[in-house]
Amino acid sequence: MPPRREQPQEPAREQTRSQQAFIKAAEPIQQLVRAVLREERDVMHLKRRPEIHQKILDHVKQRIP
Amino acid sequence: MILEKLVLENFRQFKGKQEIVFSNVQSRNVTLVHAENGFGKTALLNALLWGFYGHDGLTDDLAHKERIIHEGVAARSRDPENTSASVRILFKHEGKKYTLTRSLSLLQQNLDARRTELALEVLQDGETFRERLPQQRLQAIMPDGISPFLFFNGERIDHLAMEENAAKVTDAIQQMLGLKLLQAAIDDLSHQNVRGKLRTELRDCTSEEKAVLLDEQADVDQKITDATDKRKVRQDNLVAIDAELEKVNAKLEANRAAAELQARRNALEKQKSDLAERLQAVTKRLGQMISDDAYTLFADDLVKRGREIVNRMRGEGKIPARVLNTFLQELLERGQCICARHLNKDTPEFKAVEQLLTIAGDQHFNNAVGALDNAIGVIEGAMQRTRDGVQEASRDRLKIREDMTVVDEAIEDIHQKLGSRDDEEVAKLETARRDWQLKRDECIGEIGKLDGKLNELNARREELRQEIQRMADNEADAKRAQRRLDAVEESVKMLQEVLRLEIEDLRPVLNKEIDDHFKKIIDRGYWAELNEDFKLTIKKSVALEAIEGSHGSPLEIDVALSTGQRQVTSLVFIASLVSLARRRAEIPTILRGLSGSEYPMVMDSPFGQLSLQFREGVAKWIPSLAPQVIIFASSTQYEGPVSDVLKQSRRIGKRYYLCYHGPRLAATAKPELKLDGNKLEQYVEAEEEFTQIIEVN
Repeated sequence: MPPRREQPQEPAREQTRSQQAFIKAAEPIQQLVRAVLREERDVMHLKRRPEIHQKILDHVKQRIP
Repeated sequence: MILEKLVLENFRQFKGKQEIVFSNVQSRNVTLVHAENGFGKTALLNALLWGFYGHDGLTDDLAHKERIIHEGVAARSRDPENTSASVRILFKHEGKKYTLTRSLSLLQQNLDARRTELALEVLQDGETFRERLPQQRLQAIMPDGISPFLFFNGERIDHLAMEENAAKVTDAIQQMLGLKLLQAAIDDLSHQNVRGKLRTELRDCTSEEKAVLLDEQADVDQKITDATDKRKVRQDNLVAIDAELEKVNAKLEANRAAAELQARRNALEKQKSDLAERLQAVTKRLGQMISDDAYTLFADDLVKRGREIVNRMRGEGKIPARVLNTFLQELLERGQCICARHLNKDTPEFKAVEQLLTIAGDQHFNNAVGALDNAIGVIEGAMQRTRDGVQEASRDRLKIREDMTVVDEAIEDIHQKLGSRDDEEVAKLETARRDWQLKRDECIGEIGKLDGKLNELNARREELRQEIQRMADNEADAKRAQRRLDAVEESVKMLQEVLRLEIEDLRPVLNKEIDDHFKKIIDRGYWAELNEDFKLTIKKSVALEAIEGSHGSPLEIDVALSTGQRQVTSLVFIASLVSLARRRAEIPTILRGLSGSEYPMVMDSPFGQLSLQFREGVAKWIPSLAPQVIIFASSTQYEGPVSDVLKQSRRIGKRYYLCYHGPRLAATAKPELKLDGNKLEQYVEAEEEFTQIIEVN
């Protein structure tokens, strides 16, 4: 078998200030925020979105036992 | 989002099935549709808007919005249920292909043309599925808040990017750069249905004392929401008042009897706003100085007394001590002096050394006095610096206030002069201006009051939060409820910080982008400035002698732009935003969807009101900024610099022209279209009116 050639590594991208602020938060908070943003993505432009608050509450309860 | 294809069927004057395939090649990203006025340019723009947003998306300049189906087809129909108009749009967005179809039957048009049928199919990884909530999905892909910036009539966008539309501009920026998502998450996490509900849960399982605090916190939250809502209304009012003031100012500038004084007033008002900014900065500096070092000003007596004590002790030879007590103690314990005599107890030698202990010093005391001496010196220095600094800042404040009074008096003088002019028009405008100015002052006062109230409420909220957090709860349920509430609070704070940093980092980038492109097209020493509230202004430098009574560095003043210049500014703003949104998609973010996206620019008659020089600039630069550009232009708009630049840059990837069939041709329209030396027939005499889309090969 020919020796495996090492893949050139991409230089690490510098984190943006907002990424740093995000990473500074505790892991459960990061997870909660990610979950909330994911929920918001599809409904944020709608004027009426009655289910979003219950979904957020469910995420809070699920992630903060 | 990149548009692939538009298929029309019986939509307005487009009889039967017709289509346009848009160019999606990056280096040839322009799709050009030639059309004389009245042939259907606006209808084409509206076909796209109707497809995405239905009846609500149609532009105000489209006549008879309720008549979507081709009039001849509708009139001849004997089966209204099966006679219809439809628009199909094929587009790509974030790696997926979409086909949207909106249709309206004649039966439904006769009942209510607003209620249309919409279907959205998505092709992903070789599989097609139908979106369950198509309009919701379309809103997520291209929110209606940004559509006026992407699909527009070029002749009517001159005010789009200007100050009076700041709220719309801010919203579009937030949406296109993906920041809206953060704001929505902050709003919903802070909502009474989330935070309030968690607080109720906590209240139900906590002590009476804590329950009282929780109730107060809920009350404070409600007051914050109310005050924030009120503030938003006042802010919107302020924007509207500013727009009215702007109109009156423009009329005064255009009036020969008032123009000179109005120009002076504009310069003075700019001067006043600069002075107000300086006053704010000096006051802030003074506040900082007082909070950091003002104690030194009250330490005068203490410093004097400290200095006296140190000097007295030094005079008495107590400091620095000539002999240390630790040294004498050591001699007595060893029983021998440094002169070699024995120090036996009760001997005169022993007693003599023991006596010395009463005047000997302590090393720690020595050190402490040295430190005190040093500290007194530092405080004396700081006291002098603080005194000088406070005096200087106070002098500056006084001077700025005096300057402001002078400027105020000059403005009042202009008001009196204009208000007493015999010219009725001027007097009337001046009265209107004063009325709007008073309303503006009132509005600013109310906003200031609300800001003060919000500051107090937020401070109280934070106090309550800390107090509630400190109160111990033994019950496991209460602890859990508290943890959840804390997590929500922390998430909101973190998101607010992320949003603040994103805006702070993006604004200068967008500002630079706009300014660079603006300078390329309008070469007059003007520059574009996007302020902290995302208000776009165009500025220029004015030499000192141009403004009577002014002194200091050259003044930067807002430029009163012509309609064409405003149109170019709006175009540059939109293209820069689209360009940044495209690049923003490459910037890593905390979550997919926080990034911006690609958007097309669809422009109906973008060259109409522009001078030849601006036409050239727009044709040259806009296609290099946006990922996809679709232009509807008449032959008079296209011929000359636009045609030359687009040919030279080889940007045109697809090209069509609209051929009008009808009984009469408008006097301004030509029956033939001349393109690159070829003559194309663009008018066909016919009894029935309709428009045909023909590709130019």
